[in-house]
Amino acid sequence: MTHEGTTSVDHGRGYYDQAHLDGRGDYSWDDEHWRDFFMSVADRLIGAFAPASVLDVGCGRGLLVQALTVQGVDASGLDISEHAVATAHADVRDRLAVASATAPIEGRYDLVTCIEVLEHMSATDAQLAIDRLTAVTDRVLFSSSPDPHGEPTHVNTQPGEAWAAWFAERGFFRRTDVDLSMITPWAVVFERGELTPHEIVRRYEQQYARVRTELLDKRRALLDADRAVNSLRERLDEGPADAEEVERLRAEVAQHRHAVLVSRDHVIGLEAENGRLQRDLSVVLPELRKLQRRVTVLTKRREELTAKLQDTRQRLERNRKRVAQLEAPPAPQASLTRRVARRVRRTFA
Amino acid sequence: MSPRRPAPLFSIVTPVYDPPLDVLKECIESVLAQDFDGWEMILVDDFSPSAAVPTVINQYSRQDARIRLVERDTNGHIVVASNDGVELAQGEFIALLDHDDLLAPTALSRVASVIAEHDDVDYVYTDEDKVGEDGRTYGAFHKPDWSPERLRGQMYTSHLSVLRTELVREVGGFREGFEGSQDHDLVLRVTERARRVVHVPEVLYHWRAVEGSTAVDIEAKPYANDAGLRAVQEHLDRVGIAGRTVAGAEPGRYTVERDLDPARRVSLVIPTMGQSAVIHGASRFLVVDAVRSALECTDHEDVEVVVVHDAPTPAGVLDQLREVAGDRLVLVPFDAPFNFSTKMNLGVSHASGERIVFLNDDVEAISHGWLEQLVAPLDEPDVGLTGAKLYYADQTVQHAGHAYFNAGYHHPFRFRTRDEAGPFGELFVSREVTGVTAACAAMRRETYFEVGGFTETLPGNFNDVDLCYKVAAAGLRTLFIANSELYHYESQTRVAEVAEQERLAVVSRWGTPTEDAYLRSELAMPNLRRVKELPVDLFDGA
Repeated sequence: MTHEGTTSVDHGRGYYDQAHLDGRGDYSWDDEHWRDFFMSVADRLIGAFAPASVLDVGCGRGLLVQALTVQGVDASGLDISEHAVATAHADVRDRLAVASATAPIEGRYDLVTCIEVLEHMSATDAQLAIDRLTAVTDRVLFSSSPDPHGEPTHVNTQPGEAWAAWFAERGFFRRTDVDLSMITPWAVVFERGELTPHEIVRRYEQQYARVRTELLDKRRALLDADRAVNSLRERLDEGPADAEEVERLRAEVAQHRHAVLVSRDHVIGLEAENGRLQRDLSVVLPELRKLQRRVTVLTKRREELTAKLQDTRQRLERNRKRVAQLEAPPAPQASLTRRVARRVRRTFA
Repeated sequence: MSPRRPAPLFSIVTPVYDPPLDVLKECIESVLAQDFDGWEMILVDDFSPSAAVPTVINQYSRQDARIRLVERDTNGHIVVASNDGVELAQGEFIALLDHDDLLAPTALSRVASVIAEHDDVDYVYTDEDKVGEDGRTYGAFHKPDWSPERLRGQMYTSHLSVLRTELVREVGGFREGFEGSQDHDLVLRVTERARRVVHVPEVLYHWRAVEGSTAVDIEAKPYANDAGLRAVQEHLDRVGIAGRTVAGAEPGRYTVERDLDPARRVSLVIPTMGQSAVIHGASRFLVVDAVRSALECTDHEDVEVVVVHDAPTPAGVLDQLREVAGDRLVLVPFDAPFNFSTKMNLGVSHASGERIVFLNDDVEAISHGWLEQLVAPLDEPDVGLTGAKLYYADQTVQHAGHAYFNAGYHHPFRFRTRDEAGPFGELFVSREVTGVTAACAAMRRETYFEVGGFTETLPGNFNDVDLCYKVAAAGLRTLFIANSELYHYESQTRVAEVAEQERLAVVSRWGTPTEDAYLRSELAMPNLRRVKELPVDLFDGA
């Protein structure tokens, strides 16, 4: 190993618990997220290649090894990090070994996986590692981040075509028909093959043409969308279609304003009239009360006078009678002879 | 009626300088003859050349302890002498009395009674007349109720003025440098802060008309006019009215030329049928001339022209309007039977300006800046409506404000000539009025909507009268603007026919007018035969 690469120390607790994979904590089999992720990776690998034996180079805490083992694959792993292997789940620890990817590998495997490992190694070590793992298998699942800034331990990031070319030097070619971008966007399966230039060109052209067609389609769609946006923008600026609507709304606003004016005037008119009537009333009411008092006084006065009148009338009547009496001629007196005769009759009766 | 407070003490302040002795005695006698006891009289002798003056005053003060003589060692002129009196005043109110003038016997008791009605009265003024050398009174000035705009144009409150002592001292009393208009300056400063100003509409002061006094001729004291100009200008600056005070058409009258904020959008709202008429011998489309002259005679740029036109309006008229007003023109078609109020309400509904100017289509602007002067006063929040001064084609007055009295709505000063001032400057001075004509008037747009615009129940007449009543009911002042002048070729466009129903509609809302608050009928129509009112005590007594 050279000084340019990373060492076991660089992949201690801090690396696994904080930095690795966006620092999503608890990188272990017990974590549901990670367990589900590696189980589905194992599903994909078994589904695509049905390997009997798998070696995971740079296996970390052996989560992929464990996922494969659970599904009956004879899997094992190696990793440079002593911490990682030591903290691996008990069920899988025996299948893991602490080793550098640059060391010769024993045995023979249907599939070797090497996920996000070589970018952590120096360029020279990475070449050696490729030699080691291509020596023990005909099929490699390979993924190496092209992002130089994702982690401080990414000391050897390379574009995907560089890795593909280096594998091609060793007679391994990309399976263009297999898509494992669920693992990482740049995950690739390399397979040993005696491919003629014809076959290689055909495979790559097939992908290239498809991507190119898609690109052209999308460019065209982008242009169309841009044109549509511009035309809408122009229509918005000129607004010939909207002018009518604006005019209609303006007229409507004016109409409503007019209605507001009319009802406001109506209310104010009623309030004013009410005020005027109140004022009139305040003038008329005292006058009315004054008149009522006068009526009461006069009525009383009338009653008194009527009584007085009646009294006077009665007295008048009496006086009239008396006058009539007095004025009446005295009753004719009986003759002296008759008066004497009556006296005598009474006396001797 | 509020509970009566104890009657106030009045301090009558009289600066004295070399008056004829009999005149001075009459002045003091008129105070002694008051039917009210709560007064002190402070006579400040401003170092009169004749020693007889203090002697006479001393005789009176020996008779009545309420009379006090203050003798100055130097001649300080009227401001200094008056301030000496103010300083010594012990009364709650100061009454200003000149050394040769007379108080009516009821002057102090009448003032005391209006002060008793409210506890926030800070300034009271009364009507006045003049007294000649033969002792006869004449020339009664029946003043308007409190009119702050008019006070900017002339010292109309004058005599008798009664001011709260505390407030006089607070504003620093009379100011040196304003001699001749020192009372105008003081009253402007006091009323800026006064809580309540009350007018007593009775002649309670007789101003002696002697040669050389301002009662006879303000031109005798040209420095007084100059001081008045400065007093008004400083008042404008204090209250934040942007504008200039310039000399009015006669001495003692001042014209305020206000600035109109250029950012204010003004909408002219003009109803028209597009008639043509022969004016000054030429046939013209009235509305086109109205708009053209209105726009030519203003420097204000943000003006919108809203023309509400009847369906029969000739297309040529509209074309000419577009030519004159350009993109400032807003056309609002109208196809209902004639209703001035509806047309105006529609026009305002389509207007976008913060300020609305009602303009008849038969007007023509005369004065440059007519629009600025008409609209700018509306920046004062308690001004609700302003109206222009309008002339017939022969330059006689058609409109100088309305007055409502004697059961009618009047156009006072109609047919006066353009150079006539009116009895007390009414035609030259911008002032508070009860009403203005809608032929050329301006409102804030928000006020227009607040009061409900023109009432559509009155299609032809009195809709402006109703509007003025509504503005007053909203607690806002209506101003006649003397320096916004236009022609109004009134008879040209509409036959004035007043239906009794229209008069009744106004009366049913607002009652029958008896006396105008701002232009007393005695001034507006001196020969008026008044409508007989039944006396209130008709039914009194048994």
